Amino acid sequence: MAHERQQAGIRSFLLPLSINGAAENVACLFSQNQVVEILGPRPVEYIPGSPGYLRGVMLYHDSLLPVVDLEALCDRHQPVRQEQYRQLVVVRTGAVDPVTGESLKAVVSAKVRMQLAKISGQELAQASEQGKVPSSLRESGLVRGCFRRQGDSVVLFDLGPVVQGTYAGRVREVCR
Amino acid sequence: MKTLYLAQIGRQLFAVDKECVLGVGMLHDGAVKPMEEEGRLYLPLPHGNRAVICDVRALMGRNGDRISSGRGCYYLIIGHGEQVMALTMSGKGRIIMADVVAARPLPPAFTGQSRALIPGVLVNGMDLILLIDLQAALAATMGDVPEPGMVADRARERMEA
Repeated sequence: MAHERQQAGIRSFLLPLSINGAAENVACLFSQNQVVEILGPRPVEYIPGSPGYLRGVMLYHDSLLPVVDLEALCDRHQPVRQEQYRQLVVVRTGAVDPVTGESLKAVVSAKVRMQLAKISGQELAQASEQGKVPSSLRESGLVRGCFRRQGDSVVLFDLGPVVQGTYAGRVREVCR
Repeated sequence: MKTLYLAQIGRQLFAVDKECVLGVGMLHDGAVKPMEEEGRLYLPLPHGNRAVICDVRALMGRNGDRISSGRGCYYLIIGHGEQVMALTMSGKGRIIMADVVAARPLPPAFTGQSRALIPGVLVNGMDLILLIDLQAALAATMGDVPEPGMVADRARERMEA
């Protein structure tokens, strides 16, 4: 039964990204379990002094969640763009707050609509091959895996360091 | 409960301790203009005093739609220690009472300068009110970026208080 399910493919979401310098189209993969909800545009409060990849905070079911711009995260050397988004995707990151122990969620801003896709188990197994990660993304240090699908690069991100706040320190270290 | 001054900056709401507010000003025709010195803008005040202008929108990297510091602009004049700061606002602002103990910290993703500038967020229905740390706002305006350790210490002190 499980084998049949794997053959049919795992229901997932793809977020197409525009990454400067990437030779091919890049999309970010979120599993169905990872995606909590896909929301339409709503107010995001900008936080002064925050890095360009953090668009602000959003109130979601009584919780304050960081809103992450994946394109800015992958393209840190580009000036901060204040582009409009079409959707806000609430995702589970798998990371926990080191202080409270709560599981941390994030909101990913999407300029284009999220696409539904069925990813085969074989494709996911290939994702562990780090060698195929486009160079523009490898620099971010947040790529868990990458595989080719219909000519595009599909990337799995680890947003844990971003929501835990350790990524900002890592970026500062690199910049020094 | 604490008395706060609520300032609208762009479409966002910010609050500062009312006790630090010296007054609200607006630039009219013929009024004194902000002056620039060493890359910073200062608002001339009576008796030869001046206030450094802090544009929160600029600190958010939103220079494109920063509030004009010219005619028709509102300023919230704030005293902090020996320093006087003029916060640009989109309107006159108003006084509110709020339970600041209920303020929530920013998510852990926000570290460094952002956490120092906004030590807490008040939730009022669907609105979020960002509490501004005047010391950090002044430091950011003057170009002093606090060290991450210093930010953590200050946040811990605030939590303990």
